[in-house]
Amino acid sequence: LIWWRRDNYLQKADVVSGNKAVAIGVKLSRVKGIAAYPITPQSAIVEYLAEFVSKGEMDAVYIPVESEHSALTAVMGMELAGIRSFTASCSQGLAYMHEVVADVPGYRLPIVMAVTNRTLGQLWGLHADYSDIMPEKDLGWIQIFVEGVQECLDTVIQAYRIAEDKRVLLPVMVNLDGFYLSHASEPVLIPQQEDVDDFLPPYTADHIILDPTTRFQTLGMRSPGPQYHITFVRLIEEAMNRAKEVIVEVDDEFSERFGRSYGGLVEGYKCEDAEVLLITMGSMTTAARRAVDELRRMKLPVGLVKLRVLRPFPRKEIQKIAKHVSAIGVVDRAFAFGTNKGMVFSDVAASLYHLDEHPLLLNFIAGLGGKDVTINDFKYMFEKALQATKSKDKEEVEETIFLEDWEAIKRLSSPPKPPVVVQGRLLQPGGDFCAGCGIPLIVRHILEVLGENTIIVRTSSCFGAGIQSPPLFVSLLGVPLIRSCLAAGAAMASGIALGLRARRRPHVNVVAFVGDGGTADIGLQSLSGAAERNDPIIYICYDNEGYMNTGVQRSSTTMISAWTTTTPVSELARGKREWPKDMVSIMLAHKVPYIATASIAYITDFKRKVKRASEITQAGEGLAYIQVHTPCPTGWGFPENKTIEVARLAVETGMVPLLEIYKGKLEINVKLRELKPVSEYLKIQRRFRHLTASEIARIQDFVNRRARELGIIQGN
Amino acid sequence: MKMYASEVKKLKIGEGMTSKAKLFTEFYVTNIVGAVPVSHWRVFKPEVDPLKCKRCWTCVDLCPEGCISKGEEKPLIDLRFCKGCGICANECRFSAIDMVEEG
Repeated sequence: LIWWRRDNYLQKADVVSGNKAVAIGVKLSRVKGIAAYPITPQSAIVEYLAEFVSKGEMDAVYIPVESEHSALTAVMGMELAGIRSFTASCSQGLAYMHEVVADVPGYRLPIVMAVTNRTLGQLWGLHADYSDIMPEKDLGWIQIFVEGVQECLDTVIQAYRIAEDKRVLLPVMVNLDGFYLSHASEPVLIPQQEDVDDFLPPYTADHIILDPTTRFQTLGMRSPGPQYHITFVRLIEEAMNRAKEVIVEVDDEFSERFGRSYGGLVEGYKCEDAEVLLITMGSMTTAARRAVDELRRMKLPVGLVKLRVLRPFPRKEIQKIAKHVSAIGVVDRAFAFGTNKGMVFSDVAASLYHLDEHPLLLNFIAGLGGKDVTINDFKYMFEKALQATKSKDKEEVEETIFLEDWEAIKRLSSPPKPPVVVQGRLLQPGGDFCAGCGIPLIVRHILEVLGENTIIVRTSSCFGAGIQSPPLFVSLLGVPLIRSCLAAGAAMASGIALGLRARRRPHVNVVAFVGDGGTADIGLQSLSGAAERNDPIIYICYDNEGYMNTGVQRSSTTMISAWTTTTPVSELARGKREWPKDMVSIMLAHKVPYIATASIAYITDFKRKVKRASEITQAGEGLAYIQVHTPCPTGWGFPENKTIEVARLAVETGMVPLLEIYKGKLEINVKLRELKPVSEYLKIQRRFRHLTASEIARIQDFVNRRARELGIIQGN
Repeated sequence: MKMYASEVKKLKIGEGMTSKAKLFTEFYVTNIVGAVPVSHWRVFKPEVDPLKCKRCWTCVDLCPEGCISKGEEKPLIDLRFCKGCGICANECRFSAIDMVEEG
């Protein structure tokens, strides 16, 4: 460790990722409440926070909620209860909490949320662009975009100061580019806790804290109604406008104390005597700086403006800069369909409209879906902007320029030829599943039973990640596959099944193939709806007891005491605290005709159950639910050749009873002479390595009791 | 003024594309099925001893990749798709499969 002394402030030097920098910023801000749901590339933030809390480094409530919608709502609740709170999300998750995002500013809650920007929508992507944040930007949140990892840490601390300032009292989103910042490690100076305490006073949102023990105060009794609504909107906008000066003040004070400034609202780079400017945001700015440096050496009058704060939009600052230049190119990392322009372009154009003389405005769409925006790309953009100052052709200047990968598009000129096809296989081999993963095994056997007339609905899951190995336009599956949003796998299946029935095709098997998170956590509402309506779908939940492809986080079916990245093990914490959710009982309460549990170690039994489920749904009896126990070598920590062995042990120890319930009648499929001790199942897995004898005994008791109740043991 | 050598050539989507590629691109659909060889994942590869094999075909059922098929006297392993997880060797009741290091 290196200690860094600057103006009497001692700071610790370390190399951390953007996600860790955010988590450290949250810790230094003395946040007392965290609620979050894992999503790539945000997950590491909540993992680090879970670690800090479990080690006692942070004194905070940590709620591992079941969906993003609940994450932000729980954070709202914690703020109303009077504690400083934090959440993080991105992309699909951010869109899922959209409704709550819109709610927060109205209550004037100073929540800070980190968003690891990632592509949103059906053109599925894991990588950075701003399509997720653009739909949220106009809802009353302050939007700050960071350029580097150090800025991630510093901005979180600044964000609480800004949000909680009595002149502002608005929520703040700290935007860091997914992967480019969230997963990139850079040297970072970490301020001392007492210095941050000095900078950031304790949380006192006394304007809104709900605490009947001290005073009566209520909110949200009724909507303001058409007479007053517009006034409330104006009041929030006034707070937004006041935020501009607060943001600059806070940045100045931060720079005085810690020696780092980010320019307040916008940061100019070599724009004093520039004729042509680019406006950039986020991590791509660094490449743009290098392009400016190179072109400046060639004596070209170029400069750069980094838009650090998108909301409140720095209108005056942009106007001031624009007065002295002849052309501005706006680099947009998101696109507004139907406007032919990016979103930031529209803001810049609107702010310049009232100038007597405005510069030429060009719009570049770059870096969508996480495409790298390189120094050469920026040189190209500068060149285009410089050309525009000389061009007389207005239409050409107005044309939006998409920086596409033309070499890659040329390769699409004819349909790709798959390198190999294995005849007679509906699931082609070679997915990106970990070695020893049971998921392709399950899908292969499902398709062997159900045949070609099958549609598979998947959600975001290990299965979804695993089948993406072939090149674009080559499918690993020989049956139709559709990705549904994570919260609505069952609804997508219901829609397809009933739609096909309306077209008189009841013999098509519609299978929702969803993980345990998509079933028991975020997707439970949709599954419950489908079960209550008794829609003719086969719902197969593969239960690997956690969110494995986002990096092994807990789900509600994770076994008690298990280690996951969000239920760490330390002197103070002993893994997951709660018993797993009993999905079979939940489905039983819905009175669906067929419920079964299965295991990958008992393939014949599983195939029979899939067959039965297909017969029942095709006969129009209703929903069939099968839960398959699928051990995960990566997440559970056992050698990959032991997947089946672990699955078998789970059945033989009574951890996973194999049963089926047809129309309320229970049948135990695998009866045992006696239960093996659960320690045999537990000791093989790294996630249970920390268990003490009493913790094992607690699980043994639970298993024994259930075995007795169900009558798993022969002769009972 | 030419400071940036690789001037981007504008190409319209669909230009020079077959009608099938055009359809794929516009609607993001496909009807091409294909497998992906994964042999480079492997450190150990399975080898079957035909003398020990009793043709119970457990390995055929339990291979996650499904790259084992029934043969005349022993299971046939399609090594293009074997990730080397070793489940077949672990599950074989007759110890007929050995995991040997890739040469």
